[in-house]
Amino acid sequence: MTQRVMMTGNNAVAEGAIASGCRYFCGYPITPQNDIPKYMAEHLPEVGGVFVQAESELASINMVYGAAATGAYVMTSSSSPGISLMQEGLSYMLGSELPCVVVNMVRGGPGLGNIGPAQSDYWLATRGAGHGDGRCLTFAPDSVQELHDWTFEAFGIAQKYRAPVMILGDALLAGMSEPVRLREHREPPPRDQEWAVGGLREGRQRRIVNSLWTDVEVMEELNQRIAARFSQARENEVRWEEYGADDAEIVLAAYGISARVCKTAIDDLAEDGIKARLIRPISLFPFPVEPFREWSERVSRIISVELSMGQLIEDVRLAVEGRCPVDLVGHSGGVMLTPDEVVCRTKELL
Amino acid sequence: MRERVFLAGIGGQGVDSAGSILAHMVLQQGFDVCNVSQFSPEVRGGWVSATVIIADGEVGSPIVGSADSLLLFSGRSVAHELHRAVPDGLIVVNSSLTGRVAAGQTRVIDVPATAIAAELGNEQVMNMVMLGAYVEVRGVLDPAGFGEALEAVLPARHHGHIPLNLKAVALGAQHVEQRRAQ
Repeated sequence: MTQRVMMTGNNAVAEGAIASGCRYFCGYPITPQNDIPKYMAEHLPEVGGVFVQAESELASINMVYGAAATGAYVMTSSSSPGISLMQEGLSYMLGSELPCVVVNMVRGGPGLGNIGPAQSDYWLATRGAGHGDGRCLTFAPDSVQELHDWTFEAFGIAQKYRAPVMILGDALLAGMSEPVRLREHREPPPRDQEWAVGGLREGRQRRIVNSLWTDVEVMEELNQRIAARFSQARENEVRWEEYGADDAEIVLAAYGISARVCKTAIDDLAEDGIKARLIRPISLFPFPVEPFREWSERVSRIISVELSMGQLIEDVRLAVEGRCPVDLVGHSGGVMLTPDEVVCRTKELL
Repeated sequence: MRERVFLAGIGGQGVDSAGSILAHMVLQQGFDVCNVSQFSPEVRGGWVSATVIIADGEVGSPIVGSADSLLLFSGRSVAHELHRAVPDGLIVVNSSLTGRVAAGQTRVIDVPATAIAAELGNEQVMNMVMLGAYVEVRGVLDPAGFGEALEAVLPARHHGHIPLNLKAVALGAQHVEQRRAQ
């Protein structure tokens, strides 16, 4: 077992990507994720990789498109306004059935916003990937270790479903330091995908990477393939964590940094004799419907605790289907929640 | 055990470095740890804080409303952060800059850290005087870990300053001992 080292969330993401075999990074600077490109610029060349600081987020995501078309493990990272700019490219990648990893260290918004921690890109991540009939497979780590592990895993998941995978963090997770047990580096896998382009070799059929299909039936077939892969993801990739009382009277729903706050709040509530349980979606799309369905029949209410004005709460309500009330406890615009506040608001709502 | 340490001061005082050095010591000594450093956009003169959580189980929330120990480096941090102190908590203040601090039931340790650092010839090691005093008075961590933590956190080009930093730690601890003796 390797020793644990102190690392920031940003560095753990970058190191997880390199360990996984990522050799191409194209990005454009924005706070609070700048340490990811900084780490990549420093360390990718050491393993024969390529780091490009592009002239914009649009250029970045389209460079990612190009590298992905060759079957390479490729990623970009940005923060909220930058991810908005990448939506078109994500849609084109989904339409061209190309895998990539995108990390969004969310900051306060909308607009240029600020550099405080926020979770207001939940919709952008789970409904996003631009226009058209698809979205990003989205995973939300809640610790520096998980940022490292999920970035490591994300490349394989993207290849499996031939789609962009988004890692959703926030300004706080990006900058905070925690002990991390680092993954061993593995070699980049061979680019032997049946769809990857890379020069027409003798005897090989021509391969086309494209998202323009003027024949509507061909386009529908593409959408059916994407939908089938998402159905498969619902079967295989749903992840969540539960924490707290087995006989809880109330459930808190939270992901990422808010879930960390809730874990302490649940411990504090227990000291006051209140039994609460956390359901923490790790995969945001596909969403863990099952635990919410099950718990909605056993508790008086569910509280969605999030750093937004109510985005996660919509998926919770869809899962609960009216079986119990679902309330919101949230902040937005870069304002952080504290465990004390979650405890107080939970007591008020109970 | 869960000890929430909140360090606050102004940009340039070494709050961020102190948080990192403390967090490394915590990890080396077998605890779990989380270190959140926050600062305003100014290069110098803005507010800076570090929240270091020491836990023998899961750390939980990296953000805390109140803290078991406060290390306040500047007058403004006293004005803004004193409310975080829990009743049976500990406050270590850099009394060179803050003057005397009254905080109800909370235990306050005045350390003239800037003056002590100046006597050593470098006011920049004020942060280590503060850490030395905190570790001595709290007794959770073994001060023998400072050397290794400084090596891990400081870039190699600054390793020549480690002996000076260790002296600052020792003087911080010594100040606390002298206070006890009185």
